[in-house]
Amino acid sequence: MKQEALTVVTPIDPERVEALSDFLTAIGDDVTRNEHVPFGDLKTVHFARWVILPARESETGGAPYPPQLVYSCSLDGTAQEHVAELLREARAGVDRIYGHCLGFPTGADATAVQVAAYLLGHAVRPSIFFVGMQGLTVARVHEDARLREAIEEHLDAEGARSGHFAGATPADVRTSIREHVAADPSLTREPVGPGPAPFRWYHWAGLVLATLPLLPFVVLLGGLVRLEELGDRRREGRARGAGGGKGAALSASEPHVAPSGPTELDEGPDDPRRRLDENIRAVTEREDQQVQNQLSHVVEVKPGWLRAAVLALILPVLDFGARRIYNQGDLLGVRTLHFVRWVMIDGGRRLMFLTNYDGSMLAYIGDFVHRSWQVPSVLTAIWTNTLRFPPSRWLVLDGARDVPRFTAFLREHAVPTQVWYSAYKGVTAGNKLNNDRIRRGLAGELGEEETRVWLRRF
Amino acid sequence: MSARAVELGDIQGLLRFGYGALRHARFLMLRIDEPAAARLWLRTLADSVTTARDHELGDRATSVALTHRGLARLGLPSAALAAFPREMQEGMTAPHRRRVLGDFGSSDPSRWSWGGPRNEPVHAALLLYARSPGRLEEAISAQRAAFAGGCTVVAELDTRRLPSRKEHFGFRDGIAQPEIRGFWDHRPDEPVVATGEFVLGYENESGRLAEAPRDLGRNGSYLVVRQLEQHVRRFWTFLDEATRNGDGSSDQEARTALASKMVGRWPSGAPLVSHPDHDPHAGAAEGDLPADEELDRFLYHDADPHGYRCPIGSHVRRSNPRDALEPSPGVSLRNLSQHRIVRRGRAYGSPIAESMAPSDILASDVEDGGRGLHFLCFNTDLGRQFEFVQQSWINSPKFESVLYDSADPITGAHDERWPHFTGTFSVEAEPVRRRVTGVPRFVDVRGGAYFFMPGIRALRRLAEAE
Repeated sequence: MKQEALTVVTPIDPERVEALSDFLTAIGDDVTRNEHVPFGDLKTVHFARWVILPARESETGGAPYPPQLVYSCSLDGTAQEHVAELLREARAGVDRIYGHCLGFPTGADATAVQVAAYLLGHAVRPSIFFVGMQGLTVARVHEDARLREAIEEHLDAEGARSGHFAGATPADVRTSIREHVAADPSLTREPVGPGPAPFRWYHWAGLVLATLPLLPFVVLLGGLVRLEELGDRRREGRARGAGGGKGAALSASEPHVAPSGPTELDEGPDDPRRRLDENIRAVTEREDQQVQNQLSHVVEVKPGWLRAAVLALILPVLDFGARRIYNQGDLLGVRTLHFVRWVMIDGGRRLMFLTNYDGSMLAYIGDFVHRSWQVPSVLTAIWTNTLRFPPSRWLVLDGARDVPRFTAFLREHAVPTQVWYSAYKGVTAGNKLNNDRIRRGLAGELGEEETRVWLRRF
Repeated sequence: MSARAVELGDIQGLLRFGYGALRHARFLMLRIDEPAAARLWLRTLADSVTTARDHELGDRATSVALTHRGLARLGLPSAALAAFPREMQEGMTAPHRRRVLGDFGSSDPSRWSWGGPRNEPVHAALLLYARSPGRLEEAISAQRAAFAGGCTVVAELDTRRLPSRKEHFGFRDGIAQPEIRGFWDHRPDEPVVATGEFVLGYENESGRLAEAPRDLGRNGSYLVVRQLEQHVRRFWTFLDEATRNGDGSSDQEARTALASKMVGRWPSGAPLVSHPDHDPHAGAAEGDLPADEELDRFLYHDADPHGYRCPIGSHVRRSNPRDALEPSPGVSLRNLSQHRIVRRGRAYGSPIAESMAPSDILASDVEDGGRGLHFLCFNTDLGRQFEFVQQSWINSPKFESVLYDSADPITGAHDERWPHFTGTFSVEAEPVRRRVTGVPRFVDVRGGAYFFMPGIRALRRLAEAE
């Protein structure tokens, strides 16, 4: 069964934003046991969140953004099936939440069909949807975890009995495990499907040939972007050189690049960074409650046709890569991602980023930036088209590699998320991958080296 | 940012020297009662604080540092206070930080003896080192007289030198330290870490300056102090029970071997990667033990990729993974240089047994309590260095996405509240691992704070009357 994304963006009644925030926060404070949305009964959900995008002024001269509610879910099966399940299990909660939104069918005779139509009608297709382990359902995540635990306990018990498997070969140990698993009916299940087909060299060749016609556009756009980058750099240099107060530092979160003027031992003007610090505090206060973390992030796209064209070109290409190539637990050395999506909202004026990952934010960013050259290039290529991202060079260089500014970019445009649910709180992406390989290694014949590798998974 | 010579004369000496020859040390945690008087004291202190240029070590050394609250108490303007990084402003005990550092349950700051929300505020730390107990007492008396009226001592942390530079569990400590650029002459093959990772005002590993007030921060650093109580009896009792023979008798060799697997080194400090089967220096006299550099020269990727020698979850392997991180050794080493700290900790409390031998410890009737390590370390980016190592490597039961429920067996936080903190430790082996379950918490935090240790010029400026 495939994993899909559902992203529902609905306008909130401006008078009722705070009431909705309070209600959602109450749910989010006790996500697993709250009485309004029994997430535990939703079998199709890997991760789900409700996040309020507050009303905001536009910095690009466009109309202000009204308050909106985003429901984002990473699910098994189809969006229709998921919405049907959501309404079956949590109709009252859904009614209450969306009663705060404009256009929602309220009233005693609003049918499930109408509500489903409202939700699906407000669904936005993500430009990029990355699934860490394509084909792995929620049910199997739980079953694989149980299987692994059972085997670990068996190995402990057998090990104690046999002097830590003294004299046993790897094949002996595997046989012992297989026998134990076969004897336990609660551990058996239907055979697992083969998993997504790997991307082979001829697929790469085909991909290159297919995208070759785009090359002139790529070169043209790349050149135009480069010109714009150079212009931006010159402008930023001028602004900084003009010196004076902290205002010059607004576009770049660089506390250590000292503007000329009074030193910090004198009283300074009110720091605009203080407002951003409040946002950072609100966001970090909810981090690290458990091993997994989430981030909701919204930023304006740079105005103009050039940036829109760049995004229109690269987002589908990256989406193809996410769906077809990097979908088996390892994104070029990064193994901490569960589900990630980029969604264009507000008529293409803003780019939303929603992610579910393992470990701390700092480790997450470090993972992205330091383990390969491709991943920071991809992130830079996407976000350099938005405001306040650290400047890129040739679209893919620099940018995200400036870790302090990249971190500031992520934190300052992060949106505090009221409700966040994970169906398997203690299971990391690495665990999912390892558990899957454990299950697959139970079946069939394995050579000696393969058996050794498999046994190292315990 | 052009490289400039490191101003050793303006940097406090503790950053460069461990003062190993000054075996007696005490750390005084101070509350500032009268800012004006405190400033006067700091002015005189600026003349006697040991600098990084003072090669010729006398019989004493002095260091001073201030918490963010202490800086505010001294009257530092809000613009300067706001220029300190978030971690310094929020302090070590902010609720979010407790989760990051593992300070929950038995290590919750509400139970601390100092630095916690129930304790007196800590504004400054005065670190005194001396060659003899007499000299140390002299120095302390002199300082008490000097800051009388300005400051009160809210916690006095005594330290104790254990034999063979061991810590209380019986393992040689403080071996791995980063080579800091500009501090010493470096051999060509020595990997060197940028000065700015440990001293403010110099380029760090990203080629940038760490966050600090521009002038006040120069030549300073951020000092982490944490009082770590070690449950020595609990440690050896657990290991003894985990390695009993079939007939219930203790297996001393297996007991020490399992402890060494947990640490990643033998008690003598010899790394398991280089000596997988037995301690090459067991029973050696203190004078015959190899120097730190000898014991620190090893890598993981080629010699021990699967952890058969040094387990992947062991203390030294996860607090400093060297070249073992994905995706490659080169990337790993480059990555690592962003997460180093300089450690200056000292043990405290009398050992359960003077011999430090596990049999003697188990045979003694001295209970746990009152002994451990005053952990001190320096860095310039608390989030990326100290806190990162604590959160992502030591306390993470998932370390590097490879483990499941194995926090650091020695110092990690296992907490019953968290479903996955059940405390297991795997010893990788062929044909299959040996797993130890039910590992309890052996170390609890009893006090701590983040300090700013200013350069000498900065210290004088802080002392200037408003």
